[in-house]
Amino acid sequence: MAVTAPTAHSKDATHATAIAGVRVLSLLAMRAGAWGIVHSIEAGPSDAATLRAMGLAPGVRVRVCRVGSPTIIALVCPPEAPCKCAGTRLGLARELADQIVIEPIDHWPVA
Amino acid sequence: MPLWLSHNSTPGARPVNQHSTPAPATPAPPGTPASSSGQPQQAVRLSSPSDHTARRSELRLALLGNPNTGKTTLFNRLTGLRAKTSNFPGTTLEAHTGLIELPASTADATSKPQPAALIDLPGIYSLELKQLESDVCRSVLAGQSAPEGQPIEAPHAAIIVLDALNLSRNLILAGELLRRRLPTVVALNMIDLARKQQVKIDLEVLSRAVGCPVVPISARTGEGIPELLQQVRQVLDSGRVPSTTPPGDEAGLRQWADSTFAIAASGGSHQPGSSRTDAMDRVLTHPFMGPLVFAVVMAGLFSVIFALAEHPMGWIETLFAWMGSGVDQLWVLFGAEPTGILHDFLKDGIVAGVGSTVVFLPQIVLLFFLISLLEDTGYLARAALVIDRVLRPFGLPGHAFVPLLSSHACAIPGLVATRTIPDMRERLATILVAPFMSCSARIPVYVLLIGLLFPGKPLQGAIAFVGCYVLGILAGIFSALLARQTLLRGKARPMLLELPSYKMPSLRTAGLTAFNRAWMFLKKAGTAILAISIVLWWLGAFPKAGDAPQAATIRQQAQALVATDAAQAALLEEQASAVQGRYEKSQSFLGMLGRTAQPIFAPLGYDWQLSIGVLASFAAREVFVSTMSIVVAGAEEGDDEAQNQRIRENLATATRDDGTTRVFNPATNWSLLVFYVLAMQCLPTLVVTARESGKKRYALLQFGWMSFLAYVGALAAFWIASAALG
Repeated sequence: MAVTAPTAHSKDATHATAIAGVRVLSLLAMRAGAWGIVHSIEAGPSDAATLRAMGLAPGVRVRVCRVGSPTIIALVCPPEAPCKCAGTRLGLARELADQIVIEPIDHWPVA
Repeated sequence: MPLWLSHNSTPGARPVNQHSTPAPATPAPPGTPASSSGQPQQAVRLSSPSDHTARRSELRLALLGNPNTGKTTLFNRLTGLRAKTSNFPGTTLEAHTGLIELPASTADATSKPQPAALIDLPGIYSLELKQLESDVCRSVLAGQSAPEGQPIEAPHAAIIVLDALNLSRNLILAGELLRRRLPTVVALNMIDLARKQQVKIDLEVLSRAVGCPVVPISARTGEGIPELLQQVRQVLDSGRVPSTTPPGDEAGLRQWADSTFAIAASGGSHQPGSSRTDAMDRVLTHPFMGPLVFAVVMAGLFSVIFALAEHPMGWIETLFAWMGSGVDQLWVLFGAEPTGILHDFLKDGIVAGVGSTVVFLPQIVLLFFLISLLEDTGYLARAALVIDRVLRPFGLPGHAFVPLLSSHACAIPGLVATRTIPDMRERLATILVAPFMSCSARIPVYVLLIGLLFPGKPLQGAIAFVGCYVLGILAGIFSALLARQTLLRGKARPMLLELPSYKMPSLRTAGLTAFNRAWMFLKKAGTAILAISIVLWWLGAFPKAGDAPQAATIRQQAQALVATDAAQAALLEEQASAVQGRYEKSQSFLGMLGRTAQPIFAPLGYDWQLSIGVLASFAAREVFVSTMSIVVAGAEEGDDEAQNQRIRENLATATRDDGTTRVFNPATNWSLLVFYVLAMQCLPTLVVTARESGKKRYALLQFGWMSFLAYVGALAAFWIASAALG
């Protein structure tokens, strides 16, 4: 779906945007240590395909380890399959991180 | 983890396609249905022992997997030193092929062990990505391409390496491979770690889901390797292709991978946070701490390399000096005077020429050994993120830093290491500027010139030394910026890489890497560098000049003194041979070139003697020191310390033809120093640049640009130094 990316260049992007009733943020607007679910990827088709192949697809849960240049995230396994993506960590350039739309989660569901 | 030195295996003693004792083709088990497989011709080839092509042609296996699955560790474990490196045609991607021995099939009592070639494909996340690595894997699997030296045919079978700890994602690539209808075996790697983390994988369920054998292995410990080879043997013999065909579209495939994972895997501890890795990542990629740690690690790396390489380098020098005197001995053995063209050719052309290059072998071995260790710890991926931030403004990716770093030992392995840079333009830019980094061949020149500039002042000397390195790096990154703004303009692929978990490095992998790189370097020294040494020797030795008139006069004086003052006579004799040496050099082709080219170098403050040295170093810059010893001091440094001291003094005090100006005056020394930092004076590097970039014009551009910068820089240095020093 066509979405206006929840605004580029992190520092102004403190406000969450609502897409179809879902509160979403650019990955760059997240805090280190925060949790979220990948909502969509706004990167070009080839970068997006690479990200998906590396495991970063919509619906995947992530933990943000570091924001900025570089941005580091860890993919987090869903509680029902705790060994699903053990320990996959991705380091991304700032501009790529800005093209990843995240739906923040306040509480991590405990298995 | 194929990030940097991606593949750790290079050449081996046995070329794969020239295996000397091919095992006879194995009779296939009865009832091998040739037509039931997707590749009937393979089944036929395997099943007819009388077929002569079966004896000669080898079985070929493709090894596929995600990056960081331990694919390279498995390849190394299976092939050891019997691997060789080539390219995938039309690309600069390294192809590693190794010979393995498949065991006799346990399902067939008559079967015998059989050799097979294992092709290590680049680590990829998906076969369907529009990336060079994926393209290569696709075309090799389809039989449209093969590593150089291999027949262009589809492999007979494929082994896919899956990470047991990251099964869900890995299954996507597996699904794509299963659709190719090749006999396939799944190697479920890191099974030992999975057990430790209480991850349970139901092998039977998984095997049914993927429709082919699944073998749990640990490439690190060697667990399960015999079983893996046995299963490969059995699918080859039967020609059985996977019985499942996963969906072809991305969404369907993802769903298939997810549901396969869901039925086959369970357990594992739920770990929402891995705080230690997070903390380490934060420190190592911190805007201030990251570069600081990086600087400390690199300083440590180079101190270790230079400290540890010193003694082996001494041994190699001794070895080649011994070989040189061995040539003399050979002549004496046949009762001849150790002179003449053949003698000089062997001693000065071949032994001395190759020796001056091979002396860098210990540094190269140590560099690759230590970088491989660092890569294995997981640190290099973090360093790439840090350096990406620094290099990106200059149009270079973080991946460029290992090539640039390696180039500080020698540009040739540095250029080879650019193969890990995914973007073609960025790779070319890195290739073009890598030779600006101060390689170890420049060190002898720096030592000589800085010694002349700051005699007895180690601190100033050290600062000048560091200054040379900094100047090279600055020239390199600004040249890269220029290239990326003009010739190689284009959007960069943004940095995106998987960060492997931190772990203890493997000495075995590092040892294999170092061995293979050393072997590649020695092969180069035996071919290109040998040829250049011979040409250079010839230019310096011909045409043969007669006796120098001055030398004859001095010899006569010596003769007259022999009876009365033997010591004085010996000194005169030495002086005479020095004069003779200078005379021969000045009359050689190189001498003529030096005189002809002198007007070009005059603005930089060089006389004809220095011009000879500079010209001679266009093939290999370290030649400068020995050339200057011969041309200026008339003798080469040898084992005699007192004589070496005299040569150094002679160099410092030698005068030009006017009899008053020093050959090495301070302004000239500064100019030379800048020239040697910037100039492209290494023919082997140009050869490798042409090969790695795929185009000769990039080598010409590199040569032209570096020579231009060197000339302008040396000119500026000469002016400034002349003005400042009065």
